[in-house]
Amino acid sequence: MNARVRRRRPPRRARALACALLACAALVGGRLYAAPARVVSINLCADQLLLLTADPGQVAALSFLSHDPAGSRLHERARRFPTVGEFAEDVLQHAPDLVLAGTHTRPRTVRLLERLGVAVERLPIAESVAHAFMNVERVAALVGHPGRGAAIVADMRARLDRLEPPPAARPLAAIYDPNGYTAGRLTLRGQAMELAGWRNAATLAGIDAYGTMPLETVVRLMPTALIDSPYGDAWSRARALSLHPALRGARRAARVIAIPGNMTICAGPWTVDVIEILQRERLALDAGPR
Amino acid sequence: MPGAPRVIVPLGVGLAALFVVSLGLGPEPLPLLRAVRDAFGAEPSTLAVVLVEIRLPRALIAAFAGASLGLSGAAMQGLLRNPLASPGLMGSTGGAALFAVAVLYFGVGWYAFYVLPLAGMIGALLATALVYLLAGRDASITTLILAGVAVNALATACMSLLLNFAPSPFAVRELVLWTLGDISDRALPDFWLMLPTTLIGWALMVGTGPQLDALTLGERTSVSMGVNLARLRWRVFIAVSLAVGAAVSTTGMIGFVGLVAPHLARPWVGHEPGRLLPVAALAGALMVLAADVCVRLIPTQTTIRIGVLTALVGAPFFLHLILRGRREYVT
Repeated sequence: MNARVRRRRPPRRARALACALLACAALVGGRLYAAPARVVSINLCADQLLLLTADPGQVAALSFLSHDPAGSRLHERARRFPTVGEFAEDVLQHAPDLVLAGTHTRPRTVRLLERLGVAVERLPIAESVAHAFMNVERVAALVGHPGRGAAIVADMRARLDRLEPPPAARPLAAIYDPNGYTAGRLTLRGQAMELAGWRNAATLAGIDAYGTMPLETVVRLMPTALIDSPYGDAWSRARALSLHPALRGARRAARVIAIPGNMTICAGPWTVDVIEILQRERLALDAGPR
Repeated sequence: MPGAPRVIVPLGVGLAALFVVSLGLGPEPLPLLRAVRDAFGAEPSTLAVVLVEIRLPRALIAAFAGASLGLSGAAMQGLLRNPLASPGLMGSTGGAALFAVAVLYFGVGWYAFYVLPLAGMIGALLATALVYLLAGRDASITTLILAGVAVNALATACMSLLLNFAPSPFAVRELVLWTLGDISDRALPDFWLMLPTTLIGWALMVGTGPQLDALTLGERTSVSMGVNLARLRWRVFIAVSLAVGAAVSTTGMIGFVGLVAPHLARPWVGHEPGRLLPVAALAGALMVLAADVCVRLIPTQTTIRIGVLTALVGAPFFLHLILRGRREYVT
């Protein structure tokens, strides 16, 4: 059955197109590891690592999210480059010789691009500081500037080394995102909390990676701080949850640490900023009356 | 009301019991008696916060929205003398959800507290009027259903489009909350917001009982008995829109309750709409509360939407009605 389908010949024009594209791909493939000249990113996190490590001339286009201040830390820098849609056809317009995607990018799009001979690199989500280092170094190597990646990582390491050691009695905090989502110890934000000297309420609720923490559980655990990552302030049921009156009872005692969404969605040098903010908030607990 | 049906007492007791069960259920264990005592104490404890701020509004909203839907279904079935009429099929819920979404996601909701239920009401009224005009006054069941399906589909499509345009990044994912209903994590202010329009709608509807009774004898007879048909029609439509608009703009579209609750109530009280109305309201409240309790009892990774359960019960029932109707036509 399958064999018969495959044997059916594609229309001549399509075959010609495929041949031409394959030829292009072969040409491009030969040059790939000598610094790609036109890189297109279709993933917000890859966008920003690309901006940090590539020459401006190498960046052909970035994802449309890169211009959005709510999600993109480097949105101002990104505005100098055109954006690209999320489908294979949009990407091909920019004649890329390297496409950066995320591991969660729509698989059909990635497969289609690869079929058409475009080199696609998929970047995993950074679930820890070590992952973040790896992603920075990987993108830097891909664009042919490994030195820049190493410098960024060295700087991040140095700043992390300067953090205060965590106290013996860590205060309790909970990440509380829209829809009641929280992040546990196996995530980048969970690790950031720990490095900053907080204890993660998600662990007490039995959540190690990602999960939802019921409103009632937040009220019971009464964390000292709620860590919120606002992503724009447009109304949604999801957002309305974090304004629920039941949290006011908890919030009367708790401080709300608001960290802009564009610092937490993707990992990068600003991840160290997040950790420093969280540590500053923890140190302020001891200093000021609560 | 002439001689309130006796079944009201057991239904009321059942509703109260289910209400208490609903208060007792949740992700955190809650000793109810202690929580109630704490709630009346000077220093509200965690238990009291969970009870008063989280579980109480949920149970209240479920009961009131369910009652509105059941009552509206009974009033519409009486008015149109059609056992398939219901707020869901007549477009009211779709229209209400569309207008509620427009107000909520585009930021008008916070300027004035009464905007949300009123928008729901206007949406419900417009959609119902549209179905009514499309189908005509003495519409056959088929025409009514088709007109209702068309208007509902249109309203849902417009709502989905609006959510696509909404500024919030979470909006599109919340389409499911609006189409299948959701009463998790509501707050007391949500309940206070829906209460006034709901009560006005109920009051308007319950008063129509005797007139709807007269209408069962046929339009001509009822007119000769002094019923002003045009006024009755408008009164029911406005009442339904008020109650359903308030309910849907708070909970989303919980399907099939308006259709099924009156049919559940009929075996107990017979076919007179006047007697049916309050019992259908109680049945609707029971249905939604029971569905909300089940939603929390079934262990799943992600929450089940309440409309899933009401549809699981309601859709087969709906088919049963259609089959029975067909048999009656044949014989």
